[in-house]
Amino acid sequence: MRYRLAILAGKSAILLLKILGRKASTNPGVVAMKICPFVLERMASQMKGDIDAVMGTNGKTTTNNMLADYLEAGGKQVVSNRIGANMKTGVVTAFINKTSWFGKLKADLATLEMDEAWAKHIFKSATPTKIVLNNLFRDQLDRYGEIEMTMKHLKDAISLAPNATIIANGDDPLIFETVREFKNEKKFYGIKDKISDKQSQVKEGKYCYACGKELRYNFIHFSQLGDYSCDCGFKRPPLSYSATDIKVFPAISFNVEGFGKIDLNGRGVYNIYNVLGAMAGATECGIPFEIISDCAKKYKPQIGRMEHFNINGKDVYLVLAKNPAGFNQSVNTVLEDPREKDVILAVNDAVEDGQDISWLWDVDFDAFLNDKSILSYSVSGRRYGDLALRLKYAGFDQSKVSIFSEIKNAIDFALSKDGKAKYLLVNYTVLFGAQGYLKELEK
Amino acid sequence: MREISITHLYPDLLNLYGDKGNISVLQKRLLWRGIAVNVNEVSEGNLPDLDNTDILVLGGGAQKEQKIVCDTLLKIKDELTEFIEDNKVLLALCGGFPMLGKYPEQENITGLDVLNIETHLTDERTIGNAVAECDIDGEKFNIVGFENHTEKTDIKGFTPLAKMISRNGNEGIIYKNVFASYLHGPLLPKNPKLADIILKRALIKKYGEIGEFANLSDELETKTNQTLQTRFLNL
Repeated sequence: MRYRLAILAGKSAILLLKILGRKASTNPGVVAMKICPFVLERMASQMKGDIDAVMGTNGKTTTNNMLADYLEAGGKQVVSNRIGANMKTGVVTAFINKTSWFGKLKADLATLEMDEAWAKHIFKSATPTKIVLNNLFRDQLDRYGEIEMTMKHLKDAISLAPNATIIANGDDPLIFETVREFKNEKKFYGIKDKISDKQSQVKEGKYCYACGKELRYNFIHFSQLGDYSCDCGFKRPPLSYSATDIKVFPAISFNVEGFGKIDLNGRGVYNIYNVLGAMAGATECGIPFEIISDCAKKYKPQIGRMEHFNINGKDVYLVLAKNPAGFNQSVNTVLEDPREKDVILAVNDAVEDGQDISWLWDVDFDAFLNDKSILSYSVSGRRYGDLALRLKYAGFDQSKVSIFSEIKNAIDFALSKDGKAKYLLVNYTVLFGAQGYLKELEK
Repeated sequence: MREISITHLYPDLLNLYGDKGNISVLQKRLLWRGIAVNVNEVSEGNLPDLDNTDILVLGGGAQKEQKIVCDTLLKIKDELTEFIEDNKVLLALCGGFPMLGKYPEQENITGLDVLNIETHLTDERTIGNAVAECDIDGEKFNIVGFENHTEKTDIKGFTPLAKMISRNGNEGIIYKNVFASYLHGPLLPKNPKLADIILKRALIKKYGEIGEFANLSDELETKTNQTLQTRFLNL
């Protein structure tokens, strides 16, 4: 009875939010869980097919959405928290969306992005059959020892799902360390060969978690992802989903050994991992490769994930980055483009962004110095001064660097320059203003 | 030609706060003045060559890494004490500041105990943008930075590095040529006056005088410092 009531209340909340023109992300779940604490168990236990859990510090939402796309393209009804509400309330809301007013689940499969710390609480109610683990990047939070904490959260969660297949990024030693001792069936994905020499190599502390020695790398794709090994025997595991023949420009394309070619309507090396994770997840759920590769061609990036605008014949790319790993990937994405280009860097320090912007000095902006095809740099956002100083002390030609307190003025300036391509590397609260203005200009 | 040697301690372990910004600033501000610079990075397991160091820089990191650094540096505790007492320049920021003293309540990390200061754990996290007033070598100026710590350090008889404006209390210590503060990461880029005082002290120690020390165009540095002061103090 309480369950029926909870569903009724949750569905009503979704309807109400829809009428108000707002997105139902967590509130319906909050309401339903208040009325019936076991609402998630009751819905999830009706699931006949797979429940996929998607986790990792970067690219979680993208990977989860790609996986949901692949499953839906395969003709499945899918429960998914596509808008990135990844705590328990978001998962409950996603389920209620696919449940009838009478509480009957109308879905074949679920793919759920989960916050790493919340996973163990969600796993107790909705135990996954597939666990996709994409990466663990050090970021600012790491100063509190959070990477170890996140690994522990993941291990706690996985131990609650002993029958689930683990689908993990084998190129990430931190992910491999997290899963290697579990007896679960494991399938690893990764990029088999070295991609290019152009990738900037930020030296980070990369230590073997098994014995503490420094890891050896045959090559690094970015951050700590690559082909690693250690004297103690710890090394990149054999890959079940192995990407070869990588092209990164003008769009991502690669071959998955034993499957076929993927052409992605998108850019950024990190997206190779997102696609591989989603592709492996979908394949393990029985979706044919042709459907996946077809779907990848039609991929439409979300806001700020290499979002493309055409403004007066110039290609403008909006790239969101929230931590040094993300920013380094964005820097690499700019370097992959051989055309003449103008670059805008904009960083705010609102609470949502993180008020501490010390990490700007850990980002490898210095890699831009080797690219002679960058015509100008503009800095903006509330911390434009810090960005300008960052570039000054890295030895950038000051006549190429302009300062704008308003992002619109930075965009106008960059568009007035000759570069065929424009790149905006921004953090969270700069994103929406920048996107709004670019959309206006594109009309 | 004059030359200053900067030794950066364990950037491979203490690499989360953008500490390398301070190294860049010290290095460039010497080079722009025609003074040669030699930067040595000391990596895990190795020990610094203190005899050939004019400015020693110790930053902060995650707890596990700070413990490794502390254990390593304890091997040269006497040399570090001598380095400090001999008026050589040490810049210790973030976790590097309390590491110079003792942590009486902590079991897994003892501290270097090269200065008589004690650091205690508190229940409260002190976090946020900070503005503080310095009065060093006859110069008064405000520094801006970011602090984030749950520890509180009893500096006993030492002189504070600065008086906090954005909150109550003092910040850090200045002792001989030791500059230590919780203000973390890239402190010097937007505080050029503090950077220059550190450089002048290093030149005096090595050459007995500051010597030629050109004024730099610090328009960008000064403007950033002032803009952030205004914002952080809600003026």
